[in-house]
This record gives sequence, structure tokens and C-alpha cells, in this order.
Amino acid sequence: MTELVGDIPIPRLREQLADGGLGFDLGAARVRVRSDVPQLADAVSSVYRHFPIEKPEGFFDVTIEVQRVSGLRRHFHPQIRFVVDGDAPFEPFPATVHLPLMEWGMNFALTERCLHYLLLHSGSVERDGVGIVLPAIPGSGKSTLTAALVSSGRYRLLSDEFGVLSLESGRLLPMLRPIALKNASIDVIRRRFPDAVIGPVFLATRKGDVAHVAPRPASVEARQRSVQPGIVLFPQFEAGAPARLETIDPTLAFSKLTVNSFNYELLGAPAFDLVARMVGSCTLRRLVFGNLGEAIDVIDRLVADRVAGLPDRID
Amino acid sequence: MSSSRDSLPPHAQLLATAVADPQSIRNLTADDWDLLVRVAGRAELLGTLCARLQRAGMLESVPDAPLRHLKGGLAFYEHRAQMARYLMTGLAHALRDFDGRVVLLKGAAYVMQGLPFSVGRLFDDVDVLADRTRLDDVERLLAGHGWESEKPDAYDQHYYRAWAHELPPMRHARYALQLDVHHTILPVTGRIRPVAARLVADAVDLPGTRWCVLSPEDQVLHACAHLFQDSDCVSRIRELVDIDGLVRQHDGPGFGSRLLERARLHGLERPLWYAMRYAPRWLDTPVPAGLQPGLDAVAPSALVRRVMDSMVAAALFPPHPDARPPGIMPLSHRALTARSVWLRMPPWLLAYHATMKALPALKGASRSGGAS
Repeated sequence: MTELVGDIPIPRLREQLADGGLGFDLGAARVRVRSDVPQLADAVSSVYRHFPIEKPEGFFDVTIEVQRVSGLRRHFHPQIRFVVDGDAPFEPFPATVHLPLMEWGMNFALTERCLHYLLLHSGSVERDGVGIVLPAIPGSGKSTLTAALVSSGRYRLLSDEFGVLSLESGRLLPMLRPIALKNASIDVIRRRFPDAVIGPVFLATRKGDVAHVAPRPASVEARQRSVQPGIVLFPQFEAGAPARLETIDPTLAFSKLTVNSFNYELLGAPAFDLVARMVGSCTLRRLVFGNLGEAIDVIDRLVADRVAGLPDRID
Repeated sequence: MSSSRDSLPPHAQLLATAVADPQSIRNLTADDWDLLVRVAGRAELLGTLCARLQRAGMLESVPDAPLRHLKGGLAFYEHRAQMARYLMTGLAHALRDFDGRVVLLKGAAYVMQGLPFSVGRLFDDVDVLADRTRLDDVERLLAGHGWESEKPDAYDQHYYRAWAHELPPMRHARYALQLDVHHTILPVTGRIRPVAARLVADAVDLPGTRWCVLSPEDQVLHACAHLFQDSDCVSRIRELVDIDGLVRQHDGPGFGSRLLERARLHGLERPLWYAMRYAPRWLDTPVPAGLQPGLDAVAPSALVRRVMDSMVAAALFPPHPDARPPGIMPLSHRALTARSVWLRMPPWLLAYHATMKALPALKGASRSGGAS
């Protein structure tokens, strides 16, 4: 029986983080995390609670560290830094921002190291065998919508940051991590989904207030299962607007997807073919929404139509 | 297998052995692969390692997870190589009215020559060399085609023009890579002044293009000069891998004696000596026949040799990926940095240059990045 992160006493978790590290199997990648920041163990225990713990030995795609910065400064203004393979790519952060720094750093490192996948900047979820890609355009409400979909219990979380596509099979892979919510979204999700497990709130970080939603057990258990992408949905939050779907031209969808990719240009022809196949085979929509409940209903129907094999249409 | 790698720290040994002896990867454990991929990534050698294993028919022996990372390194290279070819197409167009020779250097040359060793090798910029007397013409044509200097600052401009071996780096809105136009291969203020006119005159035409590349001997010497005369050696193992690849590529009857003769002409025997000390030792590079006796005559003293041996071994490979990034540079790295500056410019010029770079900072003025 494998042990889950949430079942391990915090002191032992802290010890393991500081020593060999904690291993996580995210689905598309294996990540090893090390840290000598004591408070990080509490936060990790909360938002990674359903992940089985992996021994830190063997091959990992990415090894990251969140380290305390030494020096006199640590007595009055403690700082931490993110390190990947002995390199510190960012300036130090205040020591209180440990989990957000770990998550931002992990995004950075995964983006740098995972050149074997096409990495779209998007949320990705699955329902009834239909993979849904929610490309991120700033202010689109992608993370909030992703959190709402999976908190409804009807959608499986793949990732709130990446649309990971296999260059060989064209299938969508999970890169399962906690969902990062910002500012007002934190309370919106907390109020609408009282069961959602939300970790500590980090106030006034560089990206505002940040908190993380723990992935549900079902998503964690299915993190090795890929899915065929079936719907590409461009969310657009608009305060007060009733939820509505709009068609989107495939060529425009193509350019929006590729501009929003972390490594599309680098991968060249295989990535072009993959995105072209995707816009050719997926239901493409823009979703304007002002209310999460309505948005979920609309997406439920879109998935049901897709599953029923109904012709691609707009009501 | 060579035993001279045994003196390296284990992570460096792992990388050097995989590069030099692809067959050896059969015996690696998952822990070894984990470390190797991290060290190779740090050394910017993932793509090179992938290509070397591929040529040796060893890719099938690489477990899936590390293989994906090796192939990712190769994909990164292919993208850069394409960016470079695209830039060179535009450059050839911009220089179509220039009747002088334009010599491609380093990565750009290897790509256009199609040298197998350079597959997977990363590069950030395209370097070309032209005769110093024709530099104004080149610059004028480039400016007319949208190339802009990266260093608009008057002092930086002066620094490059008076003391460097190249024009200030240039960029073009259409191209991702930077362009460096050289008139020689080492800073003109340095202790060694290669014969620039001969570099250009003896360059070899690349058939079907407007480009030339350095003669095989000069190509090797340029790589040696770049690593052991013009750099601090820190984490530059990939440049030693270049030297290894070039020597293996160009070696043949008479190459050793031609290389020695050419090194004498340019005054580059010492950098060549260092290259032929460390590349065979760590990468099993074959020393071209007839080269060693001539080089031994210019070997540094036993003391310098011992100091350099320990410093270069510590600096050339990236640190262990689990080592804490140091707050201050280790002593051996600082000594090598000091050495590279010492070799690059006389002390009076260094003092002047350091003052000029420090003044604006003292005044609190904001300026773009430094010239050196």
C-alpha cells in the first residue's frame, strides 16, 4: 500500500523534503522536490494530499529545490530562492511565499525540460472520454473555470496550466498539480464549492493573493490516463454576461493555440501537424460567461453533444 | 576505457565518459541517467550527447524517460540551426554587393559545412569574419538592411572598435539570433595576435554559397584560442567537445604537422597545448600524429601545469547539480577569470576600462549592459 502525502506526519514530510526530497508522479512527468523551508511541508501536505509519495531515487524529469537564502539578511527579512540543477533562475522571494514559488518554479522547469511534448498554455480537463482544452488568455478566467469544473465532481483535472499533447499520439496527458487561484477567485470557488480543499492563502505575492486547490482523489488516481482532445474552448469572463457559446474560425483557433504555446515554435513541423489535426477534429468554441454555474451547464451540454456524436452546431 | 577520467568528480566523469565512449551507457542505472541528464543539461550538451549516441547506434539502449530528454536537446538544436540558416540567407542577401570574403565561424560554419560532430551543438549567435579594412563596407550594408547595434552606448561602441576583435553585436527584428562581425579571433589588446589576414586569405570556399570557412587547421586553433585564451573556462566543457569533434573530423595524413606550423604562425601553440592536454585525457581525443613533440617544446612549466590541471578540472565541468549555487565564486574560478582578463588586455587598459564601466554606476546613471 503506497503512502499518500496527506497521511504522512508533517515532521517526517519536512525531513524528507530536506533530505532526499519528495517524488511526485504528475502523469506526464516525474518531479523531485527538495526544500529546507520548514513551512513548505505544511503547505505541500495540504495541496498534494492525495498524491502517493514516490521514493526520490531513480530517474526524474525535473529536480527542483526551494532553498533558504543564507546571509545576515535572514534574521530580519528571510528570503528563499528557487533552484533547478544548481542554477537559480529567479531573484530571491520573501520566505513566506514558499508554495507559490515552488509551483511557479515547477512550471518554469517543466517548460524548460519537457521538449518532448507540445505544451499549450491552457487548462485541461476530461469528461466521459472527451478531453477539453481551455487556452489561457490573461483575464480569461481559465484557472477559475478549471477549478469550478473539477470541483463540480463531474470533470477530471489534467492540469490548470498546461495542455500537454503527445507528439506521437496527439493525445492529451495529465500534468497533475494543484490549481493556482488568484485574488477574488479564491473566495468564489470557496463559496460555491465548500468541499474543495484549498491550501493556505498567500497574501500580496507578485501575482496578488494566491491559493491552491488540491486535486481530487479520482484525478490523482487517473493521472496516467491520456485522453483524445475533443473540445477546444476559449473562455472569456465578462462580468454579468449570460453564458453563451460562439463559433470560432479554425485558422483563428490555430493561431490562438500556437501563440499560447510554450514550445510550439521550437518543435517545428510535428507541432504544426498536431495543432492542425486538433483544430480539424475538435469542437471549437468561444465561451463568454459571467457566472460559473451557467458556464458549467453550457460545457456539460457541449460534452454531451460530443459524446452523442451530434453534428457540431450552435444553439 | 581511459583511466585519466578517474581523477574527475563523479558527475563530470559520468558526462565525459558518456560523450567519449557511447558504448559505456549500457551499464548506467536509473540514478546514473538522472544525474547524467541533469549534468548534460547544465553543460548544454544534451543534444550533442543524443547525436553521439545515435551515431554510435546506442539510442536503443537508452531508457525511455532519459531518451525523451536527449531528443528534446536535439529538437532544441534543430530549431536553432534552422534559425541560423534563416539568418544566413538574409545575411547573404544583405551582402550581395560586397565583393570581399565573408568567413563563417564556429556554429554557423559547422552547420553550413554539415559537420557530423556539430549535430546537437547549441549556439546563441552567428559569427562571421571579414577583413578589417573592409569592415566599414560590411557594416554599412548591414545597417542598410535593418541590422542594429545591440550597444548604442558611445563608450561601449568605442570599446568594441578600439579593443575588441569584433563589432558590437547586432540584431535584426526578423531574426532570433544575434550577429557578431569579427575582424580577428582574439581581442586586439590580448597577448596573442593571430595573423588575421591569413585567417581570411587561407579560408576555404563553401561551394554553392557566398561563404567561406576557416581552413581545417585554423578551425581547430580558433576553438582552442576561444576556450583557453579568451575565456575563463567555467562550465565550458562543450567547447572542449567542439575541439574533440574538430580534431577527429580534420585529422588525416600530415594534419598534425600542418596544425603545428599554423599554431606557430598565429602564436597559438599554448592554447593548442592545453587543448591537447585535456581533450585526450577526458574525451579520448586522438592527438594528431607529429603534433606532440613540437607542442612539448612550448609546454608551460611543471608548476603552471599543476595549477592549471587542478583549476581546469574543477572549472570546465558544471558543478554537481545538487551543489548549492555558491554565493561567491570558488577560488579556482576566480583565478581563471583573472587569468582570462590578464590574457585579454594589459593592466593599464583594464584599469581604464573598469573605471569607465564603474563611473556611470557610481553616478547612478542607468545604462545598458556592459561591453565585456
